[in-house]
Amino acid sequence: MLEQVKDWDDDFYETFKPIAMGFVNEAEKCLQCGKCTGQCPAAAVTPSYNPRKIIRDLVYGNVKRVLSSVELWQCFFCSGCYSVCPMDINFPFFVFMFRLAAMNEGYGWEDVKQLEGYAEKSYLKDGITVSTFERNPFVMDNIGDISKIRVEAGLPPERTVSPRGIAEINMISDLSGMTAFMKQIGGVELLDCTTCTDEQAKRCKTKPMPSKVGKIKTHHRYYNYGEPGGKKNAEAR
Amino acid sequence: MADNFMEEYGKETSRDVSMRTKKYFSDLFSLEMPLGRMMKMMPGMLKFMMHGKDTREDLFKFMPQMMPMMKEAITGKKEG
Amino acid sequence: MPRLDKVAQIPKPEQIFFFKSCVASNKYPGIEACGTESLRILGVEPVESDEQTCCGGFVTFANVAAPTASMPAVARNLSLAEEKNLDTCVVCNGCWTFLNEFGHFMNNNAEVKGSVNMMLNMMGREYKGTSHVFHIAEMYYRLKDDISKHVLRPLKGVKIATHYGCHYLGGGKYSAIDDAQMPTYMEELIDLMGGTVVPYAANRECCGTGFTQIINGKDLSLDHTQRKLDSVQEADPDMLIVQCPYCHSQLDRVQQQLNFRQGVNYQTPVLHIAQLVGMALGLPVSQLAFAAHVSGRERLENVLDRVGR
Repeated sequence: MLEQVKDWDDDFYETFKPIAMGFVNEAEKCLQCGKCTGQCPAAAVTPSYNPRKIIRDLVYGNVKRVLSSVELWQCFFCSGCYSVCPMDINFPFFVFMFRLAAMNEGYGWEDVKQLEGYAEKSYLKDGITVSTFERNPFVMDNIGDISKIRVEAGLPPERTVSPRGIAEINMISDLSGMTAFMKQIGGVELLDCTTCTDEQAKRCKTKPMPSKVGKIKTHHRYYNYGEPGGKKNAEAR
Repeated sequence: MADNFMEEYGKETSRDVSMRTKKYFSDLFSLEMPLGRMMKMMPGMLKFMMHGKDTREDLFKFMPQMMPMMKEAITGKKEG
Repeated sequence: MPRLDKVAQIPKPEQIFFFKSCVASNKYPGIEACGTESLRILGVEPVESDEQTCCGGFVTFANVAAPTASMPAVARNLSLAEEKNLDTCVVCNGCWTFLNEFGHFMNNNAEVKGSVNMMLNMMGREYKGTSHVFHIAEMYYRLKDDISKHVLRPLKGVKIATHYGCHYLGGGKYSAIDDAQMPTYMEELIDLMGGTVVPYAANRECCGTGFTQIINGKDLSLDHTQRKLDSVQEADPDMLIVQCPYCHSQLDRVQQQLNFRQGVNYQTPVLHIAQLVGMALGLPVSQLAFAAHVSGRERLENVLDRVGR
C-alpha cells in the first residue's frame, strides 16, 4: 500500500484547475460529507460507485486509480450530487472532464463507440440527435408511423433542419476538432464473443483483453473502488 | 482487484499520467491560433464555402477579419 | 415553495423563441404541438426557426463530440433567438441546463466568447448573450393566472403524480425557480387545473435514463427505473407528469420493456407538463398525440372519458 501512497501526484488538482477552464471547481473545499453518494442513483444500483471517493482521489492526485476505473463510467449525469452539495462542487463536470482524460489514456472507447451514431448519423446529418427510428418491435407495432401522428397533431410530417443549419453545425464540427475526434472513435472496432477467433477467446479466458483494437489502443477497466456489490450484471466490460 | 490498475500502468507513476492529462487538456482548450491549427481549419471552411451561394458570401464577409490572424500565425508575432 | 422573486423576474413576453427538442419532435410530437398551442392560448406567440439544431448536449456529455464543439453550437442556437430579439423557451430539462450553463459560461469568459464569436462570424452570426432561456414549466408557473382563466377541461378527480427530473432543479440549483429537494410548482399547477396530486416515495429519484447508461449500462438503468416505477405503482396515479422528454421516453418505454422481460405489469401513462396543460386548456385530442405513447394507453382513454373529449 505504501507505494500507492507515494505514487500520488500531490499538486495535480491545483495545476489542473486553471487548464480546465472553470469546469472543475471547488473540489479542494470538499468536506467528504458523502451527501453526494447518499442520494446518488448510480450508487443505488452499483454500491462500488462512490462520488465522494472519486473526488478525494482527484484532489489528492491519485489519478491512475480514477482514470482506469469502471466507476467513472457509471455516473448517471443527474446533477443530484451538485444539488445537495454544501460546497457547490459540480461533480458531473468532473466526470465529463475525466472521461475525456480516461479516453486519452485509452479507457472507455467501447462505451463511446456505441453512441457514435447519435453524433455522426443523427446530429451532424439531420441536426437532430434522436431520430424517429425505432428498434423495439412492440413500439413499432403500437405506434406505427410517427409522421402520421405528427400530422394529426397539426405539425409538419417531419421535423427538418434547414440545409444551411446543417452546413453550419458541420462547419463548427470541422473547425472545432469534433470531426477529427469522431474519426478516432470510428477507428475503434468492438470485439464480439460471436465473432471472436479461438486465439482471442483463449487470451480472453486467461487474462482480460487489453487488446489493440482498431487504431485506438483500448485498455481493460477495473473496479478500483471495491467489489461491484454482488450485482450479477455489473461486470467489467 | 484494487491493484489491477497498478499492474496495468507498470512503471508509470501518477505524475506521468497527470502530466499527460494536463497536456491533453491544455492542447484541447488552447485558444491560440498557431499555423498548424489554422491549416486544420481550412478544409472545413472550404466545405462550408462550397455549400452554396449564401454561405460563400458570409464567409467572404469574414475575410477582412481573418487576414490579420493569418499574418499573425505565419509570422508568429502579434501586430499593433 | 417556489422562489417567488425568481418567478417575478420571468417576463411575460408577446413572443418567445420556441426551442424544439429532439425527443419531443421525433418520439412524442404531442409535447411540441401542445407546447406551442398552449403558449399561444396563454398569449405568448411561439416563434420557431428551422435553422435551429439540437442543443448538442447529448453528444457532448456522451463524449462523442469534442467539448470544444459544444460552445459554438450553443452560441449558434442562441444567436438565432437574439437575431429576433426574443427570449428562448425550451421543453426539455437537458436543453435548459445545456443552453443556460454554457451560455452563462460564455458570458463570464470573454476569451472563450471571442473565439466562439470568431467561428460564428464566419457564418454571419454573432452571439451577444442577451437571450434568456426559460423552461416551459416555469413559463407556465409565471402564466398560472392565465392558465386558471383558460381551463376548459378541469381535471376533476384525476390522480396525478409528478416527476421533476434532474437537470432543471439539480443542474440549475441557483437559477431554477424552485428548491432542488422539495419542489412544489408542478403540484400548484395541477391543483390550479383541478387535478388531485398523488404523493409517492420516490418522487425525487432519477428516472434512470442516466444519460448514456440506457445504452451503455442498460441493466443499471432498468434497475433504477424499476425502483421508481414500483413506487409510482404503489401510489397508483392516473398519470405521471414529467417535464423532460428524456424522462418521458424512459419512464414510458421502459415500462413495456420491464413487462416484457420480467412479466410484471406496469401501466402508468406518462405525460409531459405541456400535454397536461394542453389537456386542461381544451386542445383537441388529436393534438395531445397520445397515439405516440407506449404504456397505459387504456388508462389515458379512461381519463379522457372522465374529463371530456
